[in-house]
Formats: sequence, structure tokens, C-alpha cells
Amino acid sequence: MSTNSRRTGSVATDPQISKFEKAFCRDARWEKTELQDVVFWFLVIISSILGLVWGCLGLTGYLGFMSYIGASFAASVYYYSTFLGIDEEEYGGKSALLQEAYTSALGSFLFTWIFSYTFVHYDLLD
Amino acid sequence: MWISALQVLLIALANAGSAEYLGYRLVYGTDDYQSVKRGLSRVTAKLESEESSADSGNPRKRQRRIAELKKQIKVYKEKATSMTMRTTLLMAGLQIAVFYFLNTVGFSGVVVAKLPFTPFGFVQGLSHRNLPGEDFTDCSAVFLFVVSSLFIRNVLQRYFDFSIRQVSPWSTAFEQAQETNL
Repeated sequence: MSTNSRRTGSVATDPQISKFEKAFCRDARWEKTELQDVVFWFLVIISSILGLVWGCLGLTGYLGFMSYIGASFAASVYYYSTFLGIDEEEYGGKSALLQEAYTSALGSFLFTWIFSYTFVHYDLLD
Repeated sequence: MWISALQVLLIALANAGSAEYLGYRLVYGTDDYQSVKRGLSRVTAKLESEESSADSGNPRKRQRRIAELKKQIKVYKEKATSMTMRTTLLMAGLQIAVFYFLNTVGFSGVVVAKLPFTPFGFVQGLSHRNLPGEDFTDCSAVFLFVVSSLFIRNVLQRYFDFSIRQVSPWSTAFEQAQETNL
């Protein structure tokens, strides 16, 4: 997508485009459920990547958990407020956007963290 | 260790996949459920537009319309819950059977993964179930199954989007607290 179309919002305001195309557009018009979906997938993907990286790096314990919570929260807030240009208050605030997604995101983080940590740091034939 | 971990992952995948499939065949794909789902999304959209519209007209009438729409949403949700009761019971039965298999026949005493953290006291009961020794970073099959299922089921449910979305208990509690304060 060109920078111009982003600035003018011509693609973003086109009702024909899907929510996943809008996920890469600034200042698009969102339905609340659409935005919740996109934030959900964003958080799940980010959490899976973080879990994979944390497991490979060998981060453990509270440090692993706290750094995950900090990094995922910062990434998701940056994504919807800076990248998408959303005013969170229009959609019920942070809690409405993130609460539902965080349960699944935590599951995906734990899943990839445990698997990558086990596979990278322990003898596979053990 | 990795073969056991992959076996547990496959069991979780099969369990989540069959749960979604059964749910679709028995409830979510039926005409009754679809009409409830359509009705609910229609009323929810109305409520959202009513709440976000500028304060025009009589505020009392607007409040009454919002209350009426909220009541309709509650009725639709109750209908949907009663429809899913049968599959919920079926899923619970399936889950118990898988837990029994993992606990006794399949993976009793088998360390399937290493946890990168030491779980809290009450979680240790699950993460160290039927395992020998005092190393609480050893992970039991049941715990790995629960974590894998949490991930896979949530992703499948959101991807297929068959069922009516449940509001998280946190936001329900938050809304109730706000209403109490008002």
C-alpha cells in the first residue's frame, strides 16, 4: 500500500475491504467486534513469537512472565493507538479491547514458551 | 521427552478439533442456533448505534429503548446457552475421558516437558501430577494438555467463529461494578 493512500485514508474508508486488510491501514473505520478480532490475532501472533524467542533465549521464571506482559502490552497499545490511530475510549477503553484477547494470548505464550524451552534446552532423546 | 510432548500436542489437537466439529454438527450449524445468532447480532448492532448516537430526542425514551434492547440481548443469550447445554455436557465427558487417559493409562509418571518457571502452589497439583521427585519444573502430560488446549481451542473458536461470543467474566464483573456505583 502506498504512503499516499494511507495518509488520505482512501483504502481505509472503503467498505469493501476486509478487517485483515484494514489491520494494515491507519485511520480506518472499525466496528467494535472487527477491532477486537484484529487485536486478538495481533496479540496471539505477538505472544507466540515472544514465547518462541523467550524459550530459545532461555528466559525463565518471573523475569520471563513480567517481560512478556510488559512487551505484549506495549506492542498491542502501540499497534492500535499509534499504528492504527484508534482512540481506545471510542471502543470502551483498554479493558474492552485487551481483556478478552489476553486469556488466549497468555495460552499461546505459555504453549510456545514451554515447547521451545524444552526442545532447545533439553536433550531431545532424554 | 519430545515424543511424549508431541503425542500430548496431537491429543490436544484432536480433542479441540473434535469438540469444534461436534459443536458445529449438533448445535452451531443448526437453523435454530443460526437464527438466534443472527437475532443477537442484529440487536447488538442496534444497541451499539443507540448508545453511540448523539443525544437527540427524549433522553428518557432513549434510556427505555436501550433497556429494552439489553433485555432482548439477555433473552437471546439465555436461549443460546440452553441450546449449547447438551454439547457442553458432551465436551465435559470427553475432557474427563482424556484426563483419565493422560493420568493413568497413557502418561502416568512421564515427564513430557520442562517448564521454564516454577508454578504457584495450587498449579503444582496439576503440573506435577503423578510425577516422581521434587523438581517442580517437570511438566506432567495433564498440564501440557491443558495449556495446549487453551491455545488451540481459543484459536479454532475464533477462526471458525461458530458460536456466539461469550463476554469474559472480568468485563461482566467490571460492568456490574460500574452499574452498582451509578
